[in-house]
Amino acid sequence: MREKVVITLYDSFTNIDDRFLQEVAFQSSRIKKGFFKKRVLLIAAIMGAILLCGFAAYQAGIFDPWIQKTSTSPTETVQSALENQMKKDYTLELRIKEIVVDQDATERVKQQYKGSELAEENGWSDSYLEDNLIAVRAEYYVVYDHQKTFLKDGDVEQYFFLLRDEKTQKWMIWNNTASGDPFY
Amino acid sequence: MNDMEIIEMYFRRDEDAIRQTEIKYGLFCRSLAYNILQIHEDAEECVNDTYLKAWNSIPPNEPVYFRGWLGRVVRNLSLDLWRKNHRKKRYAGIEEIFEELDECIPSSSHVEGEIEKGMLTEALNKWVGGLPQMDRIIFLRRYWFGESLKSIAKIYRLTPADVANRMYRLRQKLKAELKREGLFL
Repeated sequence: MREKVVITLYDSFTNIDDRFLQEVAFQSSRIKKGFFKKRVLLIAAIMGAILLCGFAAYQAGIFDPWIQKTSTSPTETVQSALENQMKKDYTLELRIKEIVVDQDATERVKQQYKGSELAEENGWSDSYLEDNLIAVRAEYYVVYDHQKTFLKDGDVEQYFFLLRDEKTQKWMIWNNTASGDPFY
Repeated sequence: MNDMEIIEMYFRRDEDAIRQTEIKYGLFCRSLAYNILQIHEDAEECVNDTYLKAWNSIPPNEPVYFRGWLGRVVRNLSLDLWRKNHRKKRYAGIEEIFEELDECIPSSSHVEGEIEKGMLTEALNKWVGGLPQMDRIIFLRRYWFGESLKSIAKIYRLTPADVANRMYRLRQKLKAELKREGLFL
C-alpha cells in the first residue's frame, strides 16, 4: 500500500505546472549556451594567440616571404625581391647600392649544407648543391615604418642563398640572413 | 522548426510531424524514459508510443507547451511500463527515486483508499512554486526529469553529496508541507 502511495506521489509530479518545466528547460539552455559561449571564447583565445604569434612572426619577417621574380641570373632574382620590398606597406624607402655574387660566402654555404640533415630532408645531393647553390650579397639603404615592423633599417648588408631549378635554370631565394646580420 | 509549426503539421496530418518531433525532442524523450526505466529498449518503445500518442491526440489536443506535453506523455507511458515490469520483478528502474520520495510520506501515515492525484498535484504546484529558484530547479531535475544526483552535481559544479543533502532537506520540507495540507496524516 505504501509503495502505491509513493508511486502516486511521483505520478502527481507529472502534471506539475508548465511554467516550472519551462523554467528548467530555459535554465538548461542557458547552461548549454554558457558552455557553448565558454568554448567559443576558448577557441577565440587560442585563435587570438595564434594570430598574435603569427603577427609577431610577421613582424620579425619569419612568415614574410620575398616577392621575387625568379631569373637565370641570381642577382636579378635578388634585385626583384628587393624592389618588391618597396611594395610592402612597412617599407618607406629602399635604395639598392650593390648586388653581387659572393664566391667566399658561396663556398662556405655549400660546405655548411653538403651532407647536412637539411640537405637530406630536402633531397639535395652534394653534386646538386655544388652546381646549384649560390650566395648573393646585397647592400641597400632602407627605411621601415617602425609602427609596423621591427626590421632593422638604415644601411643594410644582407646575404641571400639561392637554389637553381635544374629544369628551368632559374634561381630562387631559398634563405637569407636577417637584414644587417653578417654571414660567417 | 518551432513548436507551433510542428503542431500545425499534426493538424494537417502531415506525417513529417513525427520526424520533426523526433529531431527536436527525441533526445529529451529518450532520456526521460530511460531515467525511469533504465533499459534502452523499453525507453525506445515508450518514445515510439509517445509519437503515436501525439499523432492520435493532436488534434483535437493543441498543446500550449509542446515539450512539457510530450514529457508528460513519456513519463506516463514509462511509468506504466515500469509498473508492468515491476510486477514481473524484471528490474529496479526508478526505485531509487521512489525510495527517496518515500521519505516524504510520514512513517505513521495512515492512507485509506486512493489519494486524489489532482489534490496532490495542486499541493505540489503550490509548494514547488514557493521554493527558491535553484531548489525548485534541482528538485524538478531529480523528481520530474529523473536525472541522477551525479549529473545534477556536474551541471551545478557541486559534489553529489551536496546535492543529496540539499535533496534531503527539500524532501523533509515537502513532507512537512504534505502533512500540513492534510494529505498525509
